[in-house]
Amino acid sequence: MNETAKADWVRSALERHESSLLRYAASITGDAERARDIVQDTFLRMCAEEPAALEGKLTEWLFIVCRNRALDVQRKEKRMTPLTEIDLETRASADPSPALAAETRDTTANALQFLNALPPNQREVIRLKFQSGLSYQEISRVTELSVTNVGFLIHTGIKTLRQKMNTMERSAR
Amino acid sequence: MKFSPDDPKLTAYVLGELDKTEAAAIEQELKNSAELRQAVDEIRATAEFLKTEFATEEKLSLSAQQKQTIAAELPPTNLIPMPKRKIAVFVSISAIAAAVMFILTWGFRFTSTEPKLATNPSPYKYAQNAEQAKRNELAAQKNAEGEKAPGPAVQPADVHNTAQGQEAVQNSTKLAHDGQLLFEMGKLDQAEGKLREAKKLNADSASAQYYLNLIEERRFRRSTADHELVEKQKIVDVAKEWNEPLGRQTLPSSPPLTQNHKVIPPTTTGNRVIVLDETAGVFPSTGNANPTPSQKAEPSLGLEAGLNSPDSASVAAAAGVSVNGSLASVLPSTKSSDYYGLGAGKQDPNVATASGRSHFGSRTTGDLNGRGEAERLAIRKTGAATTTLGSKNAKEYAFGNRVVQLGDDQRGSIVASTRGFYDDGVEDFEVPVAAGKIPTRSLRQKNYDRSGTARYPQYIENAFESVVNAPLSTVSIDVDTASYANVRRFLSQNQMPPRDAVRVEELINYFTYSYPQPQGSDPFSVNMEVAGCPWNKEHRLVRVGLKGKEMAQDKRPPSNFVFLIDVSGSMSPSERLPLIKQALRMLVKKMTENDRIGIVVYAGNAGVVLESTSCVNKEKILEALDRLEAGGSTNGGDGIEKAYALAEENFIKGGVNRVILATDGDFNVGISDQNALVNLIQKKAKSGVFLSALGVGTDNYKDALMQKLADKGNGNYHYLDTLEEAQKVLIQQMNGTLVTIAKDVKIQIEFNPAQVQSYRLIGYEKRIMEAQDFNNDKKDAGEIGAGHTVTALYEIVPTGVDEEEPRPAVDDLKYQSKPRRITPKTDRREPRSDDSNELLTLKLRFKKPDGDTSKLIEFPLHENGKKFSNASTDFRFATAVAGFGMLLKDSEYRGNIGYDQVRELAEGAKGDDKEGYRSEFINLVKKAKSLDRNRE
Repeated sequence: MNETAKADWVRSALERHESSLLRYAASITGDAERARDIVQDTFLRMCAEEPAALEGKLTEWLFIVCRNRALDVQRKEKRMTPLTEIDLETRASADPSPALAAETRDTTANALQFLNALPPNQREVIRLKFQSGLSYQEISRVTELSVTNVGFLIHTGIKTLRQKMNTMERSAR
Repeated sequence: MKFSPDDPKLTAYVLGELDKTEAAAIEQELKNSAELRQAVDEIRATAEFLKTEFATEEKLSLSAQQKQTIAAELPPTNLIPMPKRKIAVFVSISAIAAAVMFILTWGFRFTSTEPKLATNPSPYKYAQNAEQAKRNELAAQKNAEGEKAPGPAVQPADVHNTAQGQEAVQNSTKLAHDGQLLFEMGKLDQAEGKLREAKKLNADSASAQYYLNLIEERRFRRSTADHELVEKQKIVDVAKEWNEPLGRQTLPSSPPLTQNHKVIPPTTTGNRVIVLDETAGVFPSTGNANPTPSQKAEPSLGLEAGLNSPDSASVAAAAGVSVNGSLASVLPSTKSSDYYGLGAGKQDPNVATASGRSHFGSRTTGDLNGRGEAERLAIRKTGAATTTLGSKNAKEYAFGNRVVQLGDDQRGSIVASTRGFYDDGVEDFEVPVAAGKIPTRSLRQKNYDRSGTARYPQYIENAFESVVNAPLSTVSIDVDTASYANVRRFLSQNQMPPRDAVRVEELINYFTYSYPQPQGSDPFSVNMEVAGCPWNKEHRLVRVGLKGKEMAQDKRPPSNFVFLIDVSGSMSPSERLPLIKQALRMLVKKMTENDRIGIVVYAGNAGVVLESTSCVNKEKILEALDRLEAGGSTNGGDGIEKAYALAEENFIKGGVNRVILATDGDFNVGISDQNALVNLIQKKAKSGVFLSALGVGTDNYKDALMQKLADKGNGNYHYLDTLEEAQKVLIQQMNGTLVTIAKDVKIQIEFNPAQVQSYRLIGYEKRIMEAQDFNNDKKDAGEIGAGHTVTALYEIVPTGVDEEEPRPAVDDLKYQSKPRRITPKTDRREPRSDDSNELLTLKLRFKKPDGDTSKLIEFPLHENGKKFSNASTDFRFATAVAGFGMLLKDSEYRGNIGYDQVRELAEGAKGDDKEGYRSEFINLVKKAKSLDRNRE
């Protein structure tokens, strides 16, 4: 491939995946600005790679790099003091943050609001599946979970969403 | 194979993830089961829905500048290598896609974990050309090979100069690169394989080594994370096992003999009364001890223990203790040799005071003059039995439920005490005293509420003081409101509140009064009013009102708060920790970006849950709050240390620095000794960080301790029974509760003996100070928050009213003339000629919140003969509340007031009542009347 081909390669990838990568990074870090930096880094790294090397697994690779970078950023930002037994007794709730939960309650329901109410791991895989169209296998590689796990998470997430939407419809009637 | 509608395979099927055989199996099942079909349909519908929702989601994009940065990395059309940049990645510049140049960069900000492979100088002499030549060579090679996977970089050729070596190097590079990709994909094992091969081919391969290290690191991280999780889970399991059978932690209920009245407010003007309870103070006596009805032997008083004189039994009680528990006046004998001069009394030698400290069940030695002031111990007989003294060197006296030995060296020790549950570890007990009407009825023990382990401090109501003997009334200001909320809680549960739970000043201060805002530079205004007294036609009422300067909500200075939250097991009911969480959430939402909040919790241990975080990150703070759950025992001391440390670390000079303590006070681990806790808080208060104590809870609610902590910690204390109360305290009165505008505020009133005969301060028993404490800046006093109002009511008996002169506790001396009571700082011996109709002069001292010297302001009050019905609305309402308080306490000073009268007064003085608190009060009065059928 020549250089123009490579440039095209990168640019087309940008076009195709920019938005979903941004959404994905934002869902991990919770911050759109940081997400932009992360995705920029991802593409810069892509520029360093050979198209042929990533052939067939480009999407997966992009998401992996993006995810790793996002988690690195998350880790740097964390400022919690590790506790001892207190930590155990005040275990983290799997519920979304109260602000999000309040938002969910307050505004009229929207499937995406419901989505944000899901636990983070379900949220992540559902986004990967339905927004970016990754297969179970690919999702499994990106998130480092087993395929069965991924299937289970997606299934549960869909079920919850379905229930929420049903209640919404029922109350709207 | 049977599938349930809840099988994840169904979803996989819908999404096309199953292989052919599995898909076929499912389709077979679908044919047979309508249930499965429906499930599949729903899944499909949801999936489609999600896809469309995502499609309609607003598209995010990189900024133009970011895109520019990326474009800059792409191969330009010329062949010159890109100039080195900190973030530069060297990209293959040759026409050959396969040739990529890797360069190790240090400052490469993206790939903190994944730098590129190193280049080493080529063996060629002229670097640039050489590289170019090399590239061409490689390109040629690549072209020959055809398009393939990434080619090798320029490798350290100095080591392997042979062609074979070079090929090995190239292969190694290739492998290393593969390894890198695999690593990034998370296939650690495969990556490792490739990298090791790469290393084999080229031992110097820095990149291979680098990635191998990374792999190890990642593996290690994973395994520690797993390990941690396992360990944590183990501990949680154990803790669960442990806590479950114990259920909620409660203190054992108090032993049956805790019927003691304790005494005494911490300081005294000398007119304090000791209260004996009915069973104590009855000491057997021998010989000439005479027939006081108190002949009952009380072995439970433990007299035998610790008394070393054989006729210990002869340690007679303060003679004159009667079975009814009325005052044991231990009065001075007329013989001076019987005086135990522990030092000249600074006050009237007729005043007999002694004080000491005792701890539960133990012997303590201490100066009987606890506070370094010499006080005189005086004993006198009431006319009944005389005391007989025990051992040779020491005299033994019994006060209340304690037996005290006084040695000649003027030190005393408590040698015995009743077993009892002392309210707080520190007690001052007093031998009774001088002038003043000695009430008896109110001190008799009645059916106090002893259920549960709730503990209220026991104060004796202020008596009428004679102006001639005690012209100065010195009080520390107080804005706590907890007692009202507590009373409200009891009444709403259809229970009469325990008498001790009622502190009249807190009832009065619960309400806001419309005193005028301060003018001028002082942070508060002083408003006094005098009018008639509804429960005694001859008396008058003086109302002193302080109003702190209002502060608009948005004018609050930058604030540094630390929430110190009790998350022990006892906090789990919904009106405790969940209420606190909600209340604090409301508070957090009102913060601005100038504020910081940290959260410390304490249970069995204490820990910082959230480091001090700017309120720009409200979500983070709310999240941390949300995660709190109750469990474990209560180690308050540790929590207090950590919270203050956190507050001090983030101290904002000139701003608001406060620890907000939320608990039910049930400390039972660590420093559970109340003294120690109070001392700790006292020390911490010196740091300039204030305290707000929010109490919750019911039966094990430690009102006494909470109130003490707030007092010593330069703070205020509120009881949150409902979310509405939390809203009032934290939101509506946020600036009042959280922003202190003046500290160590004390008032001293000097009554004019020409106008006033005697006076009684209604409430504030816990805040009475010594006269000399007024000018002493070292003495801790109360704090006023922005916009707070503080009201104190005095009932005065004007001169000319024919009241029975209260019998002085100390008779006049026969052989010496009675000196005028000398008060420090004012040398007055004779009343000045009275030129005005001033009733009194109020002096007030206060300090700036961060200051150390106090400022003095003074106001006189003139009599104007105003009738009660002409008094202001606020005056009349405050009076109604005071009357209510006295009724609840069954005070003997309530004159002829009753619930109906209180209600009428309140209704007539309701005023605007925008927030409805006054109406709520009227309802409480009605409720109390119906509950209290014993009283009129």
